[in-house]
Amino acid sequence: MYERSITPSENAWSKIEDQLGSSSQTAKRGYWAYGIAAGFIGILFISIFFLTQPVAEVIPTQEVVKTTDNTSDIPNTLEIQESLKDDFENTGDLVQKDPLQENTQLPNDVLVQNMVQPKFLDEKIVEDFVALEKVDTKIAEVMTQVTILEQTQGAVSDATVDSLLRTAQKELLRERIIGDSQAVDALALLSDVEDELNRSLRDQLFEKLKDGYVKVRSAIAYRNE
Amino acid sequence: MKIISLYENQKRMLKKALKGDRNAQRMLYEKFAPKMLSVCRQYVKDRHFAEDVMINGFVKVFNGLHTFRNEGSFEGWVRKIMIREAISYLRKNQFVVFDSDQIDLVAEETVFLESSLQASEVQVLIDSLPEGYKMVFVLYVVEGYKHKEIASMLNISESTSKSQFFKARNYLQQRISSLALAKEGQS
Repeated sequence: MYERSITPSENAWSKIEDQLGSSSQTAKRGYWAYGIAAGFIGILFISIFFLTQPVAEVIPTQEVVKTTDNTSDIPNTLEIQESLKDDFENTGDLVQKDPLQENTQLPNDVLVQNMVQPKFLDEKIVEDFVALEKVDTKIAEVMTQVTILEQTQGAVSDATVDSLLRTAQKELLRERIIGDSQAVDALALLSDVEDELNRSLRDQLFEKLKDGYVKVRSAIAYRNE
Repeated sequence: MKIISLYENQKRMLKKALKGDRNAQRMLYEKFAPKMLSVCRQYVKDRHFAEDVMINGFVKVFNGLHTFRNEGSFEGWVRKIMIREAISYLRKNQFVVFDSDQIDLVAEETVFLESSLQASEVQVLIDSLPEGYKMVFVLYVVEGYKHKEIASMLNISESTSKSQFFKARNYLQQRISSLALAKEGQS
């Protein structure tokens, strides 16, 4: 009985094969499901990683158009001295002079270059550097004017120096507002207005202090006499 | 040498079958299917149902091939799976009823036959047994399991296994003696 054998039917193996085939398909399907799930999770992590990265602003290139009138650089100190000397001699009143009302011409000589704009941090540094250079230039101009006045008129009063400084400041602000592109910079305009308001308050305080000081000085002088 | 080469061949076939090689699996099936169908037939009366049990058994064999540890013979391992599958089938169809009555195990007179019985005749005699008796009888006599092992396989007590076997043996002895008498009468 132990060694007895019975021949199975012919389609028995095909039934076994069918059952084995379906079980292996489900196993593969299981592996596929795990693979798809793992891929989806990986994509999720990568997208979260990239989304949380800070994006640096890329500024497109700008072309500075060359003007045909004058190709020289910013005028040197001697030219400034001569032009200002003419202005002072003609008007004789430096305090009331308002360069914004004059028919001034912006220097036509603009540097010709095609610049590739640096990234936002480098551009800010360059802007600050350029602004400082302009301030230095204006200060040099004012000093030159004071020297000329001392040579021509002798002693220069504080009010004169103050008016020269204010003029230079106004010019700087105007350049900042209008900018290189001949368009008005709103923020610069706003800061200018704020500055005007602060200055008026400052001037009032200064005037009051000055009046007080003058009164005290006069009183002491009279007493001594 | 021939045995060693056969063993090596079977080992190679098992490795391929483990990887899912359908040809290797088919070769293993063709080698063991006739014996395994006979094993299933010992428990299940109907040949077609026995074949279904064998098919399910082979599916479990190939799906669980990675659990075969090469500690005993592959045939013995497959045989165990077939027996478990046959028992499971009979339980599912509620063919098996175990008689829990304890019987005094008294030795009865043994009947000897002058002529040996054919395997088919033995099978007929075994088929005539009630399912519970038949299962214990086949596991003990044909497969060689001990009552303790049979009890754990069938989830019965050892004493129930012994009593079932005793009843099966008595029943068969009565049938064989009546068969012998019938043959004597014919001669």
